[in-house]
Amino acid sequence: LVGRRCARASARWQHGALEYDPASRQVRWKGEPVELTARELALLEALLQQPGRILSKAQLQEKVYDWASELESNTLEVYVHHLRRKIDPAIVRTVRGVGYALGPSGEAE
Amino acid sequence: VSLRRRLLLYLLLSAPLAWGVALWFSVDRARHEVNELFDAGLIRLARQVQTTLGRPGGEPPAPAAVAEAASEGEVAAALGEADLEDLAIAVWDRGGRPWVADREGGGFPYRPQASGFTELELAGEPWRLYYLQSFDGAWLVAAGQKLYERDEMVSQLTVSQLLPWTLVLPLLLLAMALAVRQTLAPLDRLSGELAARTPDDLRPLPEAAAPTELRPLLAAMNALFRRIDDTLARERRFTADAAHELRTPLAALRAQWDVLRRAADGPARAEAERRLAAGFDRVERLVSQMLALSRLEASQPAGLARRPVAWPAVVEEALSDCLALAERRDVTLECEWPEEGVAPLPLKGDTTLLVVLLRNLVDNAVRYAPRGVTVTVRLGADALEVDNPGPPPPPALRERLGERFLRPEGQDEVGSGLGLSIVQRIAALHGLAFVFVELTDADGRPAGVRARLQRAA
Repeated sequence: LVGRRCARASARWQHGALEYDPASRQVRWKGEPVELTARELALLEALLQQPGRILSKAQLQEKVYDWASELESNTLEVYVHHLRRKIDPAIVRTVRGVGYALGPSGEAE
Repeated sequence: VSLRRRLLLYLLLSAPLAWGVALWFSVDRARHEVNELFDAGLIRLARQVQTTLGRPGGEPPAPAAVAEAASEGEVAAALGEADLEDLAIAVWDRGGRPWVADREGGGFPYRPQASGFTELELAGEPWRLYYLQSFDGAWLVAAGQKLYERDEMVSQLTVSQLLPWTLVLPLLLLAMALAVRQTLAPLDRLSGELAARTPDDLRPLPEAAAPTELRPLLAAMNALFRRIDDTLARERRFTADAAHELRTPLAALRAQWDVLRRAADGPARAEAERRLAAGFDRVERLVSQMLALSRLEASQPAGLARRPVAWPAVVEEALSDCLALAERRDVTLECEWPEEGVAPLPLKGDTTLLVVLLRNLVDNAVRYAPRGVTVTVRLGADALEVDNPGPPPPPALRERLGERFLRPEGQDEVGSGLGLSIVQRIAALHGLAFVFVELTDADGRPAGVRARLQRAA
């Protein structure tokens, strides 16, 4: 059963130069693999699920943290910063006062 | 039923009817007068004869002379132009012997007790007789006249009246017909004008020139025209607005569908499906809100679903909708909230419509702002503002902002020009006033435009 699912899950999420394989949780930027921690991956996945939408910090925190790590909630900015550093500064855009959204894909909308 | 025909019918019936009644009265009067005249003549004749017979000291004159004097002189004087042939006289003495009688007078019956007028038939013809006893009872005089003489006179009088009437009546009827036509001419013109109109020609009818009786009708019709015009305009506006407003969420649905297609089985796919379903919900909600809005426009802003507005969600949704355009135009979006402890614009309203409002404001700002600037949404305690550091619209344009389908010249972005009128309507429904404020920097130079929504005074 697991094998079948993996076979069907070969579809990859693409956002501009970013490639994400949800099955293997592999991220590639311009074809190069990028190493991300679990929480950075969760943040990226949440943004990739709704490209073009602004997600509030509350919504993102819900995705990234579990109940046990509530105390770390002020460190969402840190993970955004990590994503920008490891992938590309434009991969996450900040909408001040509202939240974060995935950066432009570089393709014409 | 034609008014003209009915009016003509009434006039054509009532004129001869009135004419007939008048004729009957005048014939009646004429008959009365003629009777009086002829009766007076008979009485005078009878008295004349009595006087002649009773002349004191004199022998009774020869019967022939009596008849002669009576019929030739007195009677002629008494009766004027009347035909003497139809007059007759008879005289009896105390014993009832006919003393003198002319032609028909011989047929008069002797009635010793009679006095005054009586009518009877002689030789098949109706007569009117006047009996007069002399004072001493020596003589009984009867003067008589054929009745047809009177009828003839009455009918002659009648004809002499009838003739001018008969000649004038057609003229009168003709004049009435013309008058009716002339009077109803404004109605003809009105119906002609209405018949010549195209179905969408709802210009008001001129009231000032119309007759007083037509004015209320024209006013009512003009009011109806205005209502129809308003309704038509509203329908057209709704169609345009609906199309305009559906474009954005449909594009979002499309994007969510793309995500779903590339999603693998598992939680990610379930999430994508949930998102797509939520997108459909949103479109559905928007459609029903637009329908509600179109209905609300005709009536009062009551009936709106009013809940305390959660502005963060509204801003998030509206700015998300503008994100793609902002990226394309290299415009940064941001939102400023009031300081800690101050609630942003407390309002009860319809969240879906307020998202539409804010999206239109931001979309407008992003669309017409210069590249590379920041468009700021600002929520205060009593206002919602969208600042756009671009050059202000020229005054002539600002006056027209809010008109439908208005698009400033020289714009490279595609817009429908509906946005600001939608903003105004939704703002009005929520008791908010919508104004443009020109921003200036410290040196007084233009620094942008602010679209401001504040509680209406």
